Amino acid sequence: NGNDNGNGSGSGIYYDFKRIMEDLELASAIGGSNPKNYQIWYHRRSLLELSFEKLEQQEQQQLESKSESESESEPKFDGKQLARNELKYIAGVLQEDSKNYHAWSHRQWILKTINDDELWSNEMKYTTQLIDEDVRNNSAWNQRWLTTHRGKNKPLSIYDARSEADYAIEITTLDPYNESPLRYLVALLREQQNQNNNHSSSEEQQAEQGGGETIFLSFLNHVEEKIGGLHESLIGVYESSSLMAAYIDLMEMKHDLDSFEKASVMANDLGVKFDIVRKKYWLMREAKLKSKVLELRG
Amino acid sequence: HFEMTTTSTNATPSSSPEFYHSLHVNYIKNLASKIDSPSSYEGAVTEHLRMSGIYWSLTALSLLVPSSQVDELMDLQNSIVDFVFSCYDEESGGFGGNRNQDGHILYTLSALQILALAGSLEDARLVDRRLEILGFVSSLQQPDGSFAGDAWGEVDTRFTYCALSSLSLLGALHVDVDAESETIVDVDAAARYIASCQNFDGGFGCTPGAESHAGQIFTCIGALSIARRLDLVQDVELLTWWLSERQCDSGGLNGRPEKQADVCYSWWILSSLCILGRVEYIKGEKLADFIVKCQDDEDGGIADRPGDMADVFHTFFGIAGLSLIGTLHETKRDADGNEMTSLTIVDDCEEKDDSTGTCRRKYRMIDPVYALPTDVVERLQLKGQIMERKTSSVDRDERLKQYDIL
Repeated sequence: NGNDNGNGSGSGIYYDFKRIMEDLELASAIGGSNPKNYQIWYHRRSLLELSFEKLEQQEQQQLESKSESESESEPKFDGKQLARNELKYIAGVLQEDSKNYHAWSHRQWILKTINDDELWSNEMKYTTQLIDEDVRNNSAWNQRWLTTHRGKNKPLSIYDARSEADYAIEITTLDPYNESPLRYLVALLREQQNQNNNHSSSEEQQAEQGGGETIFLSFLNHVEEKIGGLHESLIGVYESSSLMAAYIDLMEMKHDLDSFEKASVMANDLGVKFDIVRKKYWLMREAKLKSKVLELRG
Repeated sequence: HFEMTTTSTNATPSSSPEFYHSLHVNYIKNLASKIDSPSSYEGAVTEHLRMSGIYWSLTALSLLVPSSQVDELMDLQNSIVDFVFSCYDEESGGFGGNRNQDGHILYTLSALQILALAGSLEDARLVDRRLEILGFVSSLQQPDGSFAGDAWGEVDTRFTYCALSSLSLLGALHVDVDAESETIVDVDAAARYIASCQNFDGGFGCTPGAESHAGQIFTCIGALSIARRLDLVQDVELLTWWLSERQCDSGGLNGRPEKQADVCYSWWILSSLCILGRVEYIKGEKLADFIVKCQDDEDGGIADRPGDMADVFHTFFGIAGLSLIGTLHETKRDADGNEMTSLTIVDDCEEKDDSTGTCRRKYRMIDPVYALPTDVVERLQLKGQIMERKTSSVDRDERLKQYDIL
C-alpha cells in the first residue's frame, strides 16, 4: 500500500517493499497448502505489479535527480531481481506439481511483463531441464513455444525453427508415443509454411520467396525423413499413433501425389487398427486426403 | 473403493450400463437441504461459490425430473430466487457468490442462469437493476478486449464467456454490425481477444500463450459462438482432433495431454465439439461407460473418477455429458427388434406404457452453448452460432436448430 512519506525519498519506497516482501511470504505460506487457489496467485501478481510500478518510478526519480547518495545507502531493489525471485518461487511450486496451471500462467505473466533477454534465455534452459525430467510434460513444451517466440506472435527464423525441430526430433526419438514434441514439431513446420505463403509477390519478394520455398521444402523433407524413419523402426513392434498422426501432417504439407496417397493409407490404418477410438475422425481425414489425390490427378 | 455392480433390478435382463436416476435426484435434494447447515464441511469450503453450486444443482435436477419438481425445490429452499437477489452487491453492480460478497462475473452469470431456469428474468428486482448489472459487465472489459472477473482485475477467458452469456441472457447483446445503438461491450474486440488465445496445438488457454486446456477451450468456443464469430477459429480440424485426443483408454476424457480422465471434461469437450459440428469425434459409448462408473451407487451423485467421492459439480457435468452424448435420450433395438434404452434406469419409472409394459423417461436436453435446458434457451430466444455437422445423425441436431450456422 503506497504509504511513502510523500517526499519521494528512497526510504519511503524501501518501507513499501519490505511490506510487499512480507506479504509475498505470507502468500507463499498460505499458497503452500492451496497451490490451486486463483485468488492467492492473483494476490502475488497484484503485489508484483505494484512493485514493478514503484521500481519504475524509483528509477525515473534517480535518473531525474541524479542523486548518488541514495544509491549508496539504500539497498537496490531491481525489477529483474524481483522477477528472478518469483520465478524461483514458482519453480518450487512446479517441483511439487509440474503441471499446475496457475503456476505456469503466473510464470508467463512475469516473463512477458519484464521481457528481458537474459530471463527468456534462462527460461529456455528451464524448459529443457523440465523436459529432461519428464518428456511428457506438456506444460513445459507449451512454455518452450512461448519462450522461443519471446512471448510474441512473430514467427521464428528458419534457423531457429530448424534448431527447435531437431530438438523435438531428439526428444521424440526417446519416447515416440508422446504427443507433445510431435505437436510442437508439426507447429514449427506449419509456422514456416505459413510464412512462405503469406509473402506478397513483389518481384523482389518473389525471388526471395522462391528461395524461401526451397529452404522450407528442404526443412520439411529433413523432418519427414527423420519421422518416417522412426515410424519404420516401430512397424510390427508397437506403432505409435501419435507419431503416425504427425507423419500424416508432414506428408500432407508436402502436397504431392505420393505423399497424399501414403497419408490416406496411414489415416485408414489409424482408424481401423491403431487408434480405433478415433475411427470417425481418421476416416474423415482419409476421405479428405483421397479427395486431394483425385484433385492432383486432375 | 466401491465397485460398480451390474446386477439389474429390472424384470427384463439388460446389458446396458446402469444409471442411478433416483439416487442422483435424492443426492441433489439432500445436498440442497444440508449445505448451509453450520456443521456442513462441504458447505463451508464451497460457501464462496454457493451461487454456482445452486446453478449446478438446479440444472442437473432439471435434466432429471419434470420442471414442476424443480420449481417445487426452488420454493422449498426458502425461495432460491430470493437468495439470488440477496447476493446482489450494490457497490459493484454484480452478484456475489454468496451474501455480503463482492460482485464477480462468475456469480453474475450463475445468478442469471438460475433466474432463467426459474423463469424469473422479468422479476422486478432484476429489471430495476438492469442498468447497473449491464454497467458492471461493461466495466470489466479491458482495452485489449479481454474481461476481468471483478474490480480487482484478474483476466481469464472464462470471464469473457461469462460476460457475453450474461449479456445475452439479459437480452442486451447487440451483435448486428449495422445497429446504430451503442453496444454495452465491444463484442468484436472481445472475440478478437479470444482468437488471440489460440495456441500452436489448436487449443485455447486462459490468456494468450497459456497452455491449451479443455475447460478454457469450452469458454472460448462458447464465447465465440455467442458472439457469432466462430470464423475466427483457425484450423478447426486441428482443434477438434486435439479435443478427440483427450479420450483415454478408459473411455473418459482428460483436460490436457498426459493428465487423468475427469468426468467434468465430458461436458467441456462434448459441448465444444457440438458447437464445432464434430461431436462424433468422441466415442460416445465408451465415454458413457466411464461416466456411469463414476456414480456412487449407494448415496448417489457422480465423482470425478471411479472410486472418488461425489460432488455436485461432477454430478452436474456427468449428467450433462450423458445428455450431450445422447445416451440419456437414446433408445436402441435389441436382437428381436424391441426398443431398449442405452442406459438401464434403475428406479421407479414415471412414464409406464401399460400396453407394452415398458418404462420410459423423457429427459430434457441440455444446450451446449448456454449450459441450460434447451427449452429455456428456446423460450428466451437466445442467439448463438454453430458449425455445420460433419457426419450425419440428425436427431441430435434438435438442440441446435435455433442457432446460426457459420
